Amino acid sequence: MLFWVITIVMLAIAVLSILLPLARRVEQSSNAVQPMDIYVDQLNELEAKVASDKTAAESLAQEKAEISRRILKQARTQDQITSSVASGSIPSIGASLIALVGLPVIVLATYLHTGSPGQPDQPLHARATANLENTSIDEMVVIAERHLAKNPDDAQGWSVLAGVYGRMNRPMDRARALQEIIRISGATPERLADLGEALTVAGDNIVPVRARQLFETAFKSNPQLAKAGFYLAIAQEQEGKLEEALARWTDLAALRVSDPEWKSMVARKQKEIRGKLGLPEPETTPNTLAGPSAEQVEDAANLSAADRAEMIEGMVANLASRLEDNPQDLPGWTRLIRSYAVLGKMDKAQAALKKAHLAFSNQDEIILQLQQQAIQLGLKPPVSKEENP
Amino acid sequence: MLRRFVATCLLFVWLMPAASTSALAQTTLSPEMEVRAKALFLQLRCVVCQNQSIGDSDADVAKDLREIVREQMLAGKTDDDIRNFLVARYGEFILLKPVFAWHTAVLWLTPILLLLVGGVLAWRATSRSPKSVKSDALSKQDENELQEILRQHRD
Amino acid sequence: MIVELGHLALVLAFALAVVQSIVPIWGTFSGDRRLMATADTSSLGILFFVTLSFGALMWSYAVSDFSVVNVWQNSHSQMPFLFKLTGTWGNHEGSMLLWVFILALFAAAVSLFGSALPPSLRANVQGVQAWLLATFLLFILLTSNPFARQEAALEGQDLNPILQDIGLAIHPPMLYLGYVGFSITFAFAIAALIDGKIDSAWARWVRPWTFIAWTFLTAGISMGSYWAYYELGWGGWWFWDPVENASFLPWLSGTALLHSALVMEKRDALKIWTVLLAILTFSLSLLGTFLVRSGVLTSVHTFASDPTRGLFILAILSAFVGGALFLFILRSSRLEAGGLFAPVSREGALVFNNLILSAAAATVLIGTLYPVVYEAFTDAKISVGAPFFNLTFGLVMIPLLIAVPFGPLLAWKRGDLLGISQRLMFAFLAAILVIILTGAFTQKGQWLAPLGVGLAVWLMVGSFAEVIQRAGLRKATLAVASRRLAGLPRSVWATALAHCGIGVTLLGIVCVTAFETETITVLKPAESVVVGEFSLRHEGYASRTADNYSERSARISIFKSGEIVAVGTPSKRFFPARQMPTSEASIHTFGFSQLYLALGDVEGDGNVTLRIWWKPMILLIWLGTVIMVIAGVISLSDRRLRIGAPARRKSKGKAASHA
Repeated sequence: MLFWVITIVMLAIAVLSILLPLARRVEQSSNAVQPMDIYVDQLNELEAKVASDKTAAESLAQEKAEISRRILKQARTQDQITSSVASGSIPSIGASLIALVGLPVIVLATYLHTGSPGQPDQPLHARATANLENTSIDEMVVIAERHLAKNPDDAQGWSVLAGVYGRMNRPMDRARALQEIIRISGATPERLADLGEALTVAGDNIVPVRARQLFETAFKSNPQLAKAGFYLAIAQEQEGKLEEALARWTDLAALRVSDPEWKSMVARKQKEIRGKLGLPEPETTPNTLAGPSAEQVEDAANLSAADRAEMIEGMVANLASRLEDNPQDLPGWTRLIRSYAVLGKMDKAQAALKKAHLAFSNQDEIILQLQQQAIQLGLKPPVSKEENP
Repeated sequence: MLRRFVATCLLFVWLMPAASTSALAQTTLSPEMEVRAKALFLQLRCVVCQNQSIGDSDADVAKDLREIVREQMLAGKTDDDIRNFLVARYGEFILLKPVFAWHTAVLWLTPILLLLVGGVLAWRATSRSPKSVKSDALSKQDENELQEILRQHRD
Repeated sequence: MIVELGHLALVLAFALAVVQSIVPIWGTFSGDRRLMATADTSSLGILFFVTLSFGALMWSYAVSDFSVVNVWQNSHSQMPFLFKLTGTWGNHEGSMLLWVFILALFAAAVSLFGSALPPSLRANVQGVQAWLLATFLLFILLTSNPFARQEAALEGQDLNPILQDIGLAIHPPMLYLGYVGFSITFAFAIAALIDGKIDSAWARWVRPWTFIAWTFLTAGISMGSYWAYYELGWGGWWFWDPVENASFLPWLSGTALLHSALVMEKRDALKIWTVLLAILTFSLSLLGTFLVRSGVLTSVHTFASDPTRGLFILAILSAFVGGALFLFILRSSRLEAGGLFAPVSREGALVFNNLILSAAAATVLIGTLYPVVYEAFTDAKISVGAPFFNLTFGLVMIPLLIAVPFGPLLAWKRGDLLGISQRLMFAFLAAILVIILTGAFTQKGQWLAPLGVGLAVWLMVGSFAEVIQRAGLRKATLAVASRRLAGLPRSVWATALAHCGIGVTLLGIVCVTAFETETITVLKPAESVVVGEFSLRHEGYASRTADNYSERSARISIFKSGEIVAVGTPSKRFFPARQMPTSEASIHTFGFSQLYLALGDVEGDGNVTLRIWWKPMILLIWLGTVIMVIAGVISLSDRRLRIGAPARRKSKGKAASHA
């Protein structure tokens, strides 16, 4: 409503700016300068010059004659300008009509075509206080960014944002956020590796030089950091250094990584590079038992008792879960049962024995072996299949 | 898509200090040759930049081009040889000062033609006879009329 | 609501401009003074509404109203407040609104300060200005509406970082004041053609307006040059970039116009040529607007491109230039030939000036357009860059620069070259002395540099010959001479200063071109490099984060003869919202010379690549333009150009006797 009131006021101002002069009487003798004034002024100026510089008088005389002729000509042809025209003449009625009708029509037609009369202003501060409900993830990111622009030392905020950027596939932004975290909280190998990863993803998974340096720094200070090792191997492969890459993959194969896909991925990579290099598959194909490697054993030896127990338990749990998926593995079962027994978890050993028994229930010879093992370990032998319909 | 790519590239340029090319010359020239090279740099366009010579630009392409010029100069090529080599590779676009040939005749000759034609016209517009330049003094009658007008005007 | 009112005000300004296009000129044809008088109020109304509109746009930038498409595209909530405001005209739509705002400003100026003009001339001038206003307002409303709305976005897309600079706050408005200022001389030319009365009085009325436009344009170009010098970060100060050429072209023809209007005022000669120049000068301004706004040329400064806009501006350009030239051809045959003059005379010198300036403008124009036209016809690309312009423009201009000191000394109609040469002998001797001195200090083979310095000195000293002569400094006593100096018309001083300013600028250009040194080096922390008489030490580098960018800068201590004289922090900035890096040079002034540091790569181990330029006498380039601007202001204050103020007093009450 207010908008339309102001609109009408503005329109009125515009219309009046045309109508007022039309209604006024115009003075006939205006204070306008006529050409004659200018010529006379020129003549005066010249005379002043002649007065100040007597030597130039002769050369200036010609100029004077010329200006004088101009004055004479102007005086003789002085034209009459503007007769007064009575008010109410056709032109002034026409002009009034243009102002009163034409102007508002042009304004309204144009504005209603190009404008959005109903839309309110939406300055930033009015919108920033809106509640977070119904805000999309994009909007929340913007709000977070704005918060961090004001509080750039909020490491927590940056790390949340880094994660979000990663999920939104905005690797460059993720890299920026990670750089902020490193700036605030210092560089840890993990953070450097994350930053390297973001830069690599941004570069279409080609490891850029800077990212490579980051991975190297990270890996140097923590050789257990699978991510850094992984990308270094990838980088070496991309650079065409296949032997080095293969060696690195072989080293990586020894790392303990909880990701179940890690081992198979590493193995696949090794196979791939061997293929590229034209090397034969190694004689000893990776043991499906996946027993601890020499390094692991050595590592385990160096660990504290508690750590070692944890490590062994982890291995046992791994084995158990693999046997759940793939029960037709007698040596596996044998090892699992023995492990439980050695760890003193007799009930778990008993349960494992029962599962193994079920898995091989139709193979008498194997059941016999299991029963013998049970007796050796002091477990209750599984019942025969006759007794267990 | 392209914009995103360009942005990524820009960021990389910024983030990657140890990039392949450096602002410093890998090829070193004798001082006289370096002066020649610098003069030549200013005549060659950095092909990806907007109206910058390779001497002014910091873009990688400009660095590479500078390196090419230096190498060729070291190999004993003349400025013209190097220009021809680059034109063959990048087209005439690389020359900030276009060659003088039929297709650029209009460009090079217009200023001269304009000066000539304009000069002749201006010369003809002036009068070389001393008489015509002199204007005679006013006649007595005119002088009186002038004084009358001035008297009215200065009141 | 403010946004929409701003939009409405723009529409109102358009409607008023349409009315003003018709009514005053109708008034001159029907002889109705009241119709003519409407232009005085309606042009103020237009200015009022355009100002409201511009204010509304600025307000939406200030409060980051991202429901306005234009604000959303060119602003960001985190930008410093000043750059939010200046961002208003840092984009196509906003800068067109600024263009029109200045057009409206000049139209209103004619209403406010043009009361001394004959009514019919004034009404016609105002009518022509209204045609321009209406056309450009329509252009804005139809193709470049800054008030287009959308659903409010949460964050803006940021302003081009190169434009986030204080230089942007001042440079475009100043440039536009010059560019658009020539719309008045254009309007005067068209009005005179409509009226059919073109005489020496017309030239007198036009000259002050030409001075205003020329002064602003000189300042604008100079600022633009300095802005590019310190902001783009590679030490160049003039690039012969199409956008720069676009502003330089009206300057060249505007300078020619100043001089030819002088002939027309004094001698009633060169009438046709002067009117043509007035039309051409503004046409070149329009052409410049077209080149910049249409995106026909891609260049450092271009930040707008859209073919529909280009076609619209091309149509405007053809309509105004074509229409003006058509009218010119219709009327020019009716113009009487003016006074005669000999080749060696003040008029002759001014014609020479016009000839050279026009040829120079044509050179720049054809060099700017040739690649575009060539590509359009052959589909092949060629470049026309600085080496071409330096060579051709330089060769064309040298004769004029040599001739400049002669001009003001020559008498009207027929001059005495020999006598003048004697009066200029002292300037000639000074130039020779400087050439010998400079030659002794430069390396062999560099014979151009001493000659250039000599030419500059010739200009600087020779420009004051008229002042010296008219004060009679050689014969009169000091007291008499100083009284005469004070009594000299200001225009004499203005001429001397303006010509001297060109000499100063030339001196700067020659020195920088000939004696500049460039050093590129990699510095380890605490390592030093010697550049001329300076020694620069790398003190390490730092990173910091500002509101809307992050920055890495190197700290460089500058030593001169063992003492620290300055600390430089050349830096690189990165603007995440636009994903764009910029380089911030560190510039240090020593006298008129500058040390210019730009940061190259920063390596992980703290090594930095530095580009270091020593730019001798570079500040003279801009100092010369400052002198020219001062000269422009002085000549505007000359009594004779204050549009007949004293004459009016005398003639009051007597007007009837002439009327």
